[in-house]
Amino acid sequence: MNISWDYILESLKSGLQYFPNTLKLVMIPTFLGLIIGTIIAFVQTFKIPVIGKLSRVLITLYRGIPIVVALMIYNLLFTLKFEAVARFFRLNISIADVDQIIVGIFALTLMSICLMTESIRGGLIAIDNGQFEAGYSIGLTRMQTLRRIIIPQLIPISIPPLTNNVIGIIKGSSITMAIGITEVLAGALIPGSKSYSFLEGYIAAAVIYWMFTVILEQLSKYLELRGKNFKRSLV
Amino acid sequence: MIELKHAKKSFHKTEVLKDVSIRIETGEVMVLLGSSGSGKTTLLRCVNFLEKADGGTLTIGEQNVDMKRASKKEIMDVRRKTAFVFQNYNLFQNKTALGNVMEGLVTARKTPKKEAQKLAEETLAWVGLSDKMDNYPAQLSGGQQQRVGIARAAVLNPEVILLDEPTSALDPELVGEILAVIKEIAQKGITMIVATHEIAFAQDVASKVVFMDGGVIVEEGAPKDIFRHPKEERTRQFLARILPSEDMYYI
Amino acid sequence: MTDIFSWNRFFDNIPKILPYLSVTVKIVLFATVFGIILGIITAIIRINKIPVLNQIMGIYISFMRGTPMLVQMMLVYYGLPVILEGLFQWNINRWDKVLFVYITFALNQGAFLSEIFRSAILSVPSGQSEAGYSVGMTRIQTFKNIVLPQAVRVALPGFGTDFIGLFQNTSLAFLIGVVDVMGRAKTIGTATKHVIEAYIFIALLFTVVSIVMQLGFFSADKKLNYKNEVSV
Repeated sequence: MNISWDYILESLKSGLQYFPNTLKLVMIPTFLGLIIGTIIAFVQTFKIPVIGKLSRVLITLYRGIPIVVALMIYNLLFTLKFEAVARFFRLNISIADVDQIIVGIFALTLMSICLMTESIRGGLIAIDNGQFEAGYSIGLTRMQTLRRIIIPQLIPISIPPLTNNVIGIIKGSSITMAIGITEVLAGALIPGSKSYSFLEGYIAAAVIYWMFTVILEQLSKYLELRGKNFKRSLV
Repeated sequence: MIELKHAKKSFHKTEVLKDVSIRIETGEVMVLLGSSGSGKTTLLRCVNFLEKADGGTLTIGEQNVDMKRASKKEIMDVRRKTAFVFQNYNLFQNKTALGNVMEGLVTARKTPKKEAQKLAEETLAWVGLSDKMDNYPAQLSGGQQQRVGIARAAVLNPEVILLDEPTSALDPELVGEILAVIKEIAQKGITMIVATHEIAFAQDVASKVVFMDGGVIVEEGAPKDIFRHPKEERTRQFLARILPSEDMYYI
Repeated sequence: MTDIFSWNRFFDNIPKILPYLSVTVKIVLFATVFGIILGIITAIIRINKIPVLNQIMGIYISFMRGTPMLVQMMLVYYGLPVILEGLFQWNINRWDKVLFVYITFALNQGAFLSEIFRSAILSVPSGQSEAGYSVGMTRIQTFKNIVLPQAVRVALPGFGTDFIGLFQNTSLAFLIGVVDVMGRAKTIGTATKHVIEAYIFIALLFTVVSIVMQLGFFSADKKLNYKNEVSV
């Protein structure tokens, strides 16, 4: 077997160099997805007329599109239509000024919103209706009940599914290399083009992603334990 | 004084409350008797608007409210004058016993924290749970949780406490301790409406018993009248089913 | 916008693309069948905590769940030939690319399904097995007749979600040159210089099939659970 350790090391370094891009591709969608997803989840749970049903339909439809297909479409639209849209808004920028990573962030954000909404809605459903009723019965408004009673219970329940979602976004970020974005995977493959052997690059990328995921899972377990303090019985 | 006039409520196609009127004076304890589906729980939940009635008026003290068209503000005002004890306690899982009792005072009534804590501690002592103040609901027995639930309602000093089958979810040996606490509250002169199956309790503590069946009030009166001399046939049938018969004592 | 998207091209593409759905179907089938087998074996190893194998399976599962599908596919594509050449002197340069996809997805499914199966089997109360033993059934009989049917009911929703995810993940296969629907879209793009209609059709295709699958699993779920409640 002629796998070269040196190349693996080189690929590791090269890949990690582009880790900041992966972070952008993961953290921005996670952040936006959480905020927008929470809002939509609450809208759906409190059955607010039009937006509630509409969002459920849209999310169910959009979830069917694989991320790679969405990326291809958005990238095409981006390259083809950017100039036209910029002229429409009378902005004096050309496509060369804008980092293509925006396309990846956009696609992953949409994916993130769908995932987060589902997870948070699931968490809300899991909370006993009686908690709401008890809050109202002592005179709390809906806002107060949410803030003081519901959300503190929602957070520990939501951590496992939310972690899964973030891991899903991390995996999605690796696919953005297919539209030319240079993140960890693409970065790890750069040395390979010189040596004509990409295997080491993929091994290095796998290691980086694996470590990222494992650390995230440990963090999530820790957060879950801390948040669940009130659930531990004395038994 | 609390008065409900012509309360009506339907769920989907089923009419659960068909024109119910009750009146209860300050300091009275009214017991709602009836099997499941009779409407007693729905009636209670309409009083503090956990369910929105389809018709009828509610008078609490000075306030008069149209139950169908009540505004958010009116509902909040009513909720500030009432308190509810749930069949399955519904304690706030993320707060300690003390936290549960304080919550209404601090957040809904903007009572300063120190004052709220003092009141809460007193009330918890009163239901016998001083040593469990810092425990979470998950760490308390059913009876203890219900006592916290009662304290949470009582500390608000409401015009009326609504209790929805407070002992139905408890193991038999814990029922007695809860009934004892409720009796104590009654003796302090707090107005209460209690939906329950516990006949002996009703006989002991109630000033008025109301028997409901199929969404209407079948009969009402003083406990000794209802239990010894029920006037309506339906009342008699109900009592025959749930009052212990002579045979049972010999098991 | 008409220079970008043309309905004519959109409809022309449909008969060109649809036949390649068969490639997707084969990948999903292969991955599911072998994934289930692998998943059951792995789940049994993990449940019974067989020493050494348990740890190995743990690492296998963690790796499959912690690395992107794309990376796994490339590792198998570039790595398997190297391993087979080094160990057995096999030359697999003639292998159809789709075989690498079959292997990757089967391995991937094996890991994900093993977790679903494991949690479903463990969720059946031990009292059920105890009851089985106490009427004289062997361990295997109890498992087959009592535990397994109940575990299947629990596992179905998770399996359904995973299955739909598998179907969507097959869209990555074209990145190593497999000609499935996405691969065909690429060739259309190279030939006609217009590819967006093809991609949009594929997006619709995946959406529709995903929803149909969701409905299918939903009704299967209801049927299984309905049988449960009738006797109440």
